[in-house]
Amino acid sequence: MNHDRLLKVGWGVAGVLAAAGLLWSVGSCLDRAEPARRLARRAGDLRELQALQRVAAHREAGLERLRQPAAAGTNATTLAAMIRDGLGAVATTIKELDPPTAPEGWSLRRVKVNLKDINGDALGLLLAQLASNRPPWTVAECSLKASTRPGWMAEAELTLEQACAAEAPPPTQK
Amino acid sequence: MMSNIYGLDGEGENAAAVRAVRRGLGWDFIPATLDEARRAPRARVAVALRQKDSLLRPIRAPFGDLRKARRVLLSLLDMQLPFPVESCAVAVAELRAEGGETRGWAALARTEEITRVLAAWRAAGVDPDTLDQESLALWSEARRTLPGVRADAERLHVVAYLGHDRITFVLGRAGHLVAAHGLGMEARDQAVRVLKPYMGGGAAVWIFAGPAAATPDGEALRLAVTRAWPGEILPAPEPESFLARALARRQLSAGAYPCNFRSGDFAHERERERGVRRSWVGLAAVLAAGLLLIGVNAVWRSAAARREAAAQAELTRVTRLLAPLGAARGSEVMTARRVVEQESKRLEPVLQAGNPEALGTLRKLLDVAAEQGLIFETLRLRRDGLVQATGVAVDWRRAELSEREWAGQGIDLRMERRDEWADGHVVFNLSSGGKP
Repeated sequence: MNHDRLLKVGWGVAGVLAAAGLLWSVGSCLDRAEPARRLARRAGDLRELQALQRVAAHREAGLERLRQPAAAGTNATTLAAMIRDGLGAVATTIKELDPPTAPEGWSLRRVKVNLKDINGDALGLLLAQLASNRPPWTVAECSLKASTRPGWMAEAELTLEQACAAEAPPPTQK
Repeated sequence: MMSNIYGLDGEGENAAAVRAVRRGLGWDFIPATLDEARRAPRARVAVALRQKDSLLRPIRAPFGDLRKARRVLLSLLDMQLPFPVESCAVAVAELRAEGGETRGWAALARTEEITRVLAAWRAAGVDPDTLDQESLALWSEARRTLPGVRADAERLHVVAYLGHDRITFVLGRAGHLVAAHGLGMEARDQAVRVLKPYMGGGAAVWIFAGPAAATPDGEALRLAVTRAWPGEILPAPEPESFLARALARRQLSAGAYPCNFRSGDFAHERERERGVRRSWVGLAAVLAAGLLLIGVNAVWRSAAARREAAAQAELTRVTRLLAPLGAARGSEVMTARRVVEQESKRLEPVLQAGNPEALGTLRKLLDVAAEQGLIFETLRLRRDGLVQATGVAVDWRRAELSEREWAGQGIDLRMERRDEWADGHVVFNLSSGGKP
């Protein structure tokens, strides 16, 4: 009797387990695409994030160049010295302009340089030198007027900008 | 495994015994003794209820649905019995659909007769696994061992079994059972009368078997029936152990007209145990299948969850690199994009101030102009891409060539011809924006 009851209980348990297993399997079978869909969605998200990472890394690389310790002048006086070194006795006026608002941790400078009667090649060399300065001077705007002398310019007006990290050590004064 | 299989013919100590022995791929049947069967460990023994102690009834139903026939079987049999069918054990030996009808044979035995026979065997020290029906066993053995029994559709075949205490006639044609009769030895002179209704004047084929077939009583009976219906006599191999062999063989393979009264209430203890074991094995199988299904599902789900968690962890890690405060699950990309865009916008003035692109553009403009002999009178360039220039080219072809070269270097400009001097020089305007 006990044996029969045990068998009955066993069949009951086995039936419940088998039914549960079967139902779960059917559920899993019907739902089998969902985990793959979720994984695919996450993989897609990861790809987008990696693309954003590349954008941020590119931006950081640009900023990193500007964060390098200043090696040369970052003010009008040192800029004038650089121009003098590059062009010699050229009539030069340098005017400091109001810089655009700099984000926190950065400082910006903007100057307008007016050069009269200048050799074109010498101007090119000067601009290359300014660009390779640390931090670099870059051309925001330039306006050239030709001279009657071939290869020379009657006037060159340049708007230069420079950005550097605010915490960067003060530049060596030349 | 099935090496202790015995067939016993008779009752008690006088029983003839046969043992089945594996020989190559088949089986051999060798003479044995009751004592051997009694002492063999886990011997499987088959005995038979005598025809005169049991009943064989034909099943006839006017429909060919076997399932339905099984349902009404007891009612069909009840009508043929002088006592209630409930007082019998019933074994369906044959049930077949034929021409829109159901036909077959059922073996019946009174429960008290089964109890008596089993008690007698137990008293003799044997608890038979199978309680067969004598006529069915005889007929199936004749079908198996004598090919003519099934092949010959014309003549009636009669298995005349002569035991020490009884005579059993089993009649059939073309392998199909036709009738069976059992007589006590004291009624042997009734044999011709009993057979007469079936013979119909045609020739019969006789098969004489049984331990008393070669005795004077057996000879007398043989003469009596063959004189009444002369015919061919098919010699049965080892006729004295014909029934015992049939019983042993039917344990190996039931063959035609299977029968075992030891079922239900009369089931052998070993059969009961086997049933219980089968039940437990079935239970274990169902339990295992259920657990396996649950296990497989659990493993699959957890593997999927692990992969998903790993993907989510990587997503969170990369998001934190871009947005240190993190993001709500599911909005990682949106949050990171917003943070990157905000940061880019915030740093835009710095990035612009560090952008050397205008210098590069100026250099390209001047280089191409020098190469093609263009002279700029004025040139204005701004970082946002604005280019305005006026100048003189040696000829218009050179001016156009310059325009194409700048385009090739990524500077889209629009060249306009403003004037042409007498010596072919062309005055031009240059502005950003490419060709209209």
